[in-house]
Amino acid sequence: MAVRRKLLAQRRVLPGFGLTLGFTLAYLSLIVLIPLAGLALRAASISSEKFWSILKDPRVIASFKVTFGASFAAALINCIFGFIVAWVLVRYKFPGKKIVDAIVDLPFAMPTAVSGIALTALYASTGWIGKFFAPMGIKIAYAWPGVMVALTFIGLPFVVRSLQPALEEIEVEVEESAASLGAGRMQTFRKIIFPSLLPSLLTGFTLAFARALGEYGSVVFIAGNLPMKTEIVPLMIIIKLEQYDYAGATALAAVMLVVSFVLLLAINLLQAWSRKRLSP
Amino acid sequence: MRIELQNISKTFGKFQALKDVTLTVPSGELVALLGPSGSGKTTLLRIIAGLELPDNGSGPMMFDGENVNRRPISERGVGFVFQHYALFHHMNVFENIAFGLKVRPKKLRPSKKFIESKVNELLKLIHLGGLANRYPHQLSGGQRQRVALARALAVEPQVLLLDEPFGALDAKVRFELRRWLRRLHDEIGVTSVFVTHDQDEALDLADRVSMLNQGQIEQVGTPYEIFHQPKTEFVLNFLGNVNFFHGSAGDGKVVLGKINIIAPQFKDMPVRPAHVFVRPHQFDLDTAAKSGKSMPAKVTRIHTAGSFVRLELVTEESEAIQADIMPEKFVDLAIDIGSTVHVHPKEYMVFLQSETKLPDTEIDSRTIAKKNRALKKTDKPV
Amino acid sequence: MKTKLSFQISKATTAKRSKASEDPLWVRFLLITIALGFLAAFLILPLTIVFKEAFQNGVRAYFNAIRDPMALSAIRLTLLTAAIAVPLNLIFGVAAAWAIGYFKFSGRNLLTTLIDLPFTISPVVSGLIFVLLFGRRGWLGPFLDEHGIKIIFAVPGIVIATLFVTFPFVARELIPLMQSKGTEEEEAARVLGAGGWRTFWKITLPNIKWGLLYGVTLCSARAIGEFGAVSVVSGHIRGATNTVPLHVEILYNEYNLSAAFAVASLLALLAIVTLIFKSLFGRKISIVRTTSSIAVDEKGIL
Repeated sequence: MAVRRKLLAQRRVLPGFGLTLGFTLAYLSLIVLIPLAGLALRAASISSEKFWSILKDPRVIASFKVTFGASFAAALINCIFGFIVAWVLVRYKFPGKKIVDAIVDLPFAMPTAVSGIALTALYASTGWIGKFFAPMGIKIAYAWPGVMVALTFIGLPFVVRSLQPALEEIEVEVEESAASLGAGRMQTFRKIIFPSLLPSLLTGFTLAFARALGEYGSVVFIAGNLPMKTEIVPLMIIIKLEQYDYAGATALAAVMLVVSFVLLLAINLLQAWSRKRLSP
Repeated sequence: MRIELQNISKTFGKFQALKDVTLTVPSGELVALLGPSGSGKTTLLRIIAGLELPDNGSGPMMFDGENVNRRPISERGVGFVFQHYALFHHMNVFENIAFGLKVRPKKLRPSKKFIESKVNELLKLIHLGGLANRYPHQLSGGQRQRVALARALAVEPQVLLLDEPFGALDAKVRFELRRWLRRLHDEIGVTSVFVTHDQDEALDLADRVSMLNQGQIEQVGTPYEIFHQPKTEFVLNFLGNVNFFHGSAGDGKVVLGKINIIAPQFKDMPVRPAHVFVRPHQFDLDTAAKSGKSMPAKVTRIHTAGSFVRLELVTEESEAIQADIMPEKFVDLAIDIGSTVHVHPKEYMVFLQSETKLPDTEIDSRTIAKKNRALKKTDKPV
Repeated sequence: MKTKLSFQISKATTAKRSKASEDPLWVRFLLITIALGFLAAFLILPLTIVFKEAFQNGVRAYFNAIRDPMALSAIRLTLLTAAIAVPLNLIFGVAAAWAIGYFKFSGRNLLTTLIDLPFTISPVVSGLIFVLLFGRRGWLGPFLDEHGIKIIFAVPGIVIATLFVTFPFVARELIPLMQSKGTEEEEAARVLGAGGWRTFWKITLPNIKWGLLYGVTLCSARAIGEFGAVSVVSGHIRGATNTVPLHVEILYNEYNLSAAFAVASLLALLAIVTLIFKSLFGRKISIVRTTSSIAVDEKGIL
């Protein structure tokens, strides 16, 4: 590659560029790029008719609805409560705050199978929380709300951790200035504080949403996996694999991948936007 | 609007930022709060604004005779300008300036037209006419500060408070804005208080300067008064350069080492130790000695670049003195590094000390530059 | 330009807020209650219930579940997988961070994004791509069959899938760390005559050791806890291709709840240890990051 040659020809004080870059590219290709390419090729080899017929299958469509719907709702819930959590962690003092701050990362650190069975035990109609809703006829575990609960759990850290740095960036003087100009607390929040947090909030939402879409372990226990009702797309992929319907699994996986990429792009753009906004 | 503070104290944890401060700001004046870091000047400003509350037991704070101690900041009618501008990043210049008007409660809120014309008027005033749509990150530091000022003025405050307003700017911009602020104040006439640690700025800009040190007011006066008639050693040391001598006063004279100065004001007073201060321009230099009235010193450095000639001298006791003389005088003296001259203080200031022990006849003199020194409070000066 | 990172315990809280920027007491009380209530319902309760159910049938049953041969073999397999995946990804992470953190070249941002890919892909898809490659009907299926090599439904498959999903963890920690720390010290060492490896061992490594440790912790936690991807490639063969998370699933599906939770509690303990590490190390990492002049590019969380 001409570019490579030009780079190598530059004199560098630090050694190891060629070695580390080479190793990085090789390892990356081996572990990540080639397998992904395999998927892409396999997906491309499916005729577009077959592709659409896979996607139009009612059970598949239902699973997309469940996955996207519950992920969106979960990300939304996380936006609301995650905002409050981030606000409280950054701005207020209360006993045990450091522990609370650490525990926000639990969904991130906890293996998904463990969260899955724990949430199920909790929200089943005999569970600690589920039993409050049972007499009202509201079923959480083994129903759509259960899927949403699991996805809320999984996305919780994303919104909080996206908002915390943005909240910390807000200068106290800006709030004082707004107050000196006559604004009440609510006005200051609505007009000054919230707009500056919007980019980070959206970034957190998108991260939580993207994570929720692909989530398997935490959901598959609490969902009940009732066809047409609480099946999620990752589960559909596994079902098709077990039936040796490689084409079907590939098609679904390809769709999920494309969505992931689009969201990744959106996240990068959002992060760039929020960096621009925050710079004084 | 006239501001009166009485017996204001403020503690932060164990640290006492203000100790029993009493101050009056006459209506329409531009007053500077000057002092070193930690002197409490910013705290005082913030208390006036309502950003901090004075300790319980503090006296009243009055705006035109009304006690505003309990009034929240949004109701005090103060305009506050911060050192780092605190502009709203996500709003453009127009929206920043209009903010105070837009957040008024519905009943008091002016019409959109009024707001527009007011903002444009202010933009013209601050010479940023065409930049209404720019965002803060597209402006220079000086421009941002002007927007911050316009924003504070938009709500027609009764008092304008500025916290080291030019601290974050380059020297040249700082100087220009200083001039500009003075002209603006003359035009608008709103009572203004600004905090600074830069004595040039305070002396240049203010109608009245209030000097603070360690939470207390050392002196309040016009720039002339505090520079030429300092009431405490702290004020004297803080402003400009000064030479310091251990000497004594009493029996009708002031003594520094070999120099005896006739001082009728001390006629009926027994001799006591004293701090004697002589500013560099208050020395008279000659190649010949005046017995009993001058001391010899050797020239170590000569600075000729400037409107006067600055000489660094060393006395026989190896103490350093700084003397500023006119260029013509320097030429007349025809001295060079290593020459010996005789210095004689034309004017001086004496602060009596409280110990009764007489000092040695040795002179202990130092030239103190603009450093802040926490000196003991002394008796009345002469 | 001020750069603050999410790891730092926020400075805004320790500074005293002035009257004008303080929220009224009732607002604070309400918000804190809501926040804590939400976290309790979604985080603390699930964690608690793991241990409650684990000990449901008594301490003896707990240890029996853990000492069960199938459980032990699952633990062995999990540890083996981690022991292979983590060091490999560690070496990669360091190499990638060195190349990306210290040098400027075109395509650097693209490379960083590519490294992040496994992080953004669904675990099930991560497993699927290897089935498509190595499975019976995959690209290399026939070839592997011929040579009697089993990857899918066998240990190698589990290792490779784990390699994939834990791929970015160390790199993600080190890249921003090395970017923000800058190359001055290494350059100084070179000017003084130190060779490449020397510079690395004596200068770079000590500076990044906390970030490295943290990245390794995350990488290991994920390697041990991975469920979705491993589920796809493993075949769930008891005693042979079951990792600890899969074993939990099996026990659960057999309605052996207390045993399932008992084994799960081991993983939960691991999660808690990871969190403790994070709060201990987080400070040290942020100290290194913030003592630099280059703004840090925060690519997401943890």
